[in-house]
Amino acid sequence: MSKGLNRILLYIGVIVVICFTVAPLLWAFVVSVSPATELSTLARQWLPRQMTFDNYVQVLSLSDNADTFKNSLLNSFIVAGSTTFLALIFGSFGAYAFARLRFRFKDRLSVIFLFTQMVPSIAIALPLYLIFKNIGLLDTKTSLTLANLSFTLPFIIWMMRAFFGSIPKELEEAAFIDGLGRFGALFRIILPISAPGLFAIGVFAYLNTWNEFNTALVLTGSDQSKTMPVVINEFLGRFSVDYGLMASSGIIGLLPPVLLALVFQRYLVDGMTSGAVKG
Amino acid sequence: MINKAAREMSSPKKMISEKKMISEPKFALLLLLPTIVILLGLLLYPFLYSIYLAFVNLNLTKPWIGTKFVGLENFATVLKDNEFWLSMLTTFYFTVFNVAASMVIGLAAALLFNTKFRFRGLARSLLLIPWAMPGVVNAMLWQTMLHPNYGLVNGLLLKLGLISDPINWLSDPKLALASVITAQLWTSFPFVALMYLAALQSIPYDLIEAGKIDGAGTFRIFTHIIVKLLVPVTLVLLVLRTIDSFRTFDLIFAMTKGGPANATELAGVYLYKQGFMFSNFGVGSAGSYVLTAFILVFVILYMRILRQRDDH
Repeated sequence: MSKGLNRILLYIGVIVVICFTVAPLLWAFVVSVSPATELSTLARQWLPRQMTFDNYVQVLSLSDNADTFKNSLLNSFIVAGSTTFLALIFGSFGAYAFARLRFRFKDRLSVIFLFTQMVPSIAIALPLYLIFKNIGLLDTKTSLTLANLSFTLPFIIWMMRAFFGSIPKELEEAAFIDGLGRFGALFRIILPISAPGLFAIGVFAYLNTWNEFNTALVLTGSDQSKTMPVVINEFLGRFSVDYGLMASSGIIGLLPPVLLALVFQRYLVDGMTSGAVKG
Repeated sequence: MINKAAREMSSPKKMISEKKMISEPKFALLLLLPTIVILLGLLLYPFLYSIYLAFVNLNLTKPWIGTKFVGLENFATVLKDNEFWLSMLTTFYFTVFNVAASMVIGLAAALLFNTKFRFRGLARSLLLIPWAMPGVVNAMLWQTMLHPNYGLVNGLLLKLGLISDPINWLSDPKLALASVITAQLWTSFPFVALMYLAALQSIPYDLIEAGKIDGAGTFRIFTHIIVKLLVPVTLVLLVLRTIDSFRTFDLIFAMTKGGPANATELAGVYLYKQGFMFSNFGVGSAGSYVLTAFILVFVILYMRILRQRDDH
């Protein structure tokens, strides 16, 4: 009897959590496919009498919208991709040093790394804007990649450090016995067997960079460097009176990161928990 | 395995002695060099540059005036600005409520999702969606949820008869902060839930079995065994969630721009306005130092707690 009751309470709890999780998504979708004439009655009916994809067509067919949108997709892809690539290479080197090697200032350096994660991005965005303006790199994908790299690196090192720490030391010792030096041990043994873990952390970093908004807002100015969140924010502003258009541009904007998250969910969960739970 | 095989195969002569290899500190320096260069150039240099900015009067719109050293004037302007202190207070409320709510709901969701039920895998996957949401899209989702006429929230409340007139969630200064906290909660509780889930799954089943054999009930097992094992991940989550809340910008910027009547203006939004809307780079830089100092105090406090725990 009490077991049955527990079961019911469990399902109620699960349903409440799931409703809270999916309601905003479903609602934005409903708004985006409703004809403008039905919006005023929608909140009480929950579903439109007719479905229409006009809003999506309109968001993507206005020619400058379509170009801006396509470019931003490409920009985000390039910026997030190159940031992740570089961060994984430099980050795995750094993390290995922290996990395995003894050197001076190690503790102090790791406190500094931790500190970089706490500085509010606006504190760095203000001077970065002026610096990049002075060297003529404002509104380029290069400057955005560099800025993102500086945010991502300390974070990646922190996560990977725990990961490298969990690899048995005997592996390196065996490599040394085999005649491999430190470089050999790292490149031929440690990095290859760490590939799945590195991939997990990479997916995590990619998503973080893809969603980064504050720095992108400050450093970008035209279609050649604006990333997706910046463009979506502009769309939201431009369509703020037309809820259907606003909702559909938001739905378009959420598709890439959400699809990425769902496809790589196993890796993401591994990546996000590797630093904190296992370490 | 590899180790054993390697030892059997290799002759001792081939082994490079530790002394012949590049020394550990040198190797560490080589490995860390790219990171150090990047952080020096893109974090430390901007950070120092903003110290300079905080002490001068830089006018981007009228460059012919030139920059003028103004001493502590920018700091004085910030510290005397009521709007700044109001934004700090708003940030504080935002952080406290957001961290508390996301921890409680995240833990509850993790405990629920850790039990066996149908579609459990699917339910867990759903959690990843809000977590992966860009802040600006999150802002849009909750704008549609909370719209006075088209929003689902008012629709539901009206239908249930809990309210008789639509509520203006985002244009009423008293409700706006609660609204953005809810939107932020929606995107932040899944991370807490997923971290707790991972921690719960790493609890050895034997331990709970042993508790049961000792005659402990479900409640006692929870309070005595599980809670204790969740302490480390809880502390990590507290630090991460606090920093995250303190730095929130995109959600507010896209959702309310800090309004109505500055009710949702977090410190980050205030600083952005000073720097990029009013071109007060000096005031913005000075303010960002004050904000960073506040965050630092929080973090040092947390680290103290963490260290104390390690000592036990």
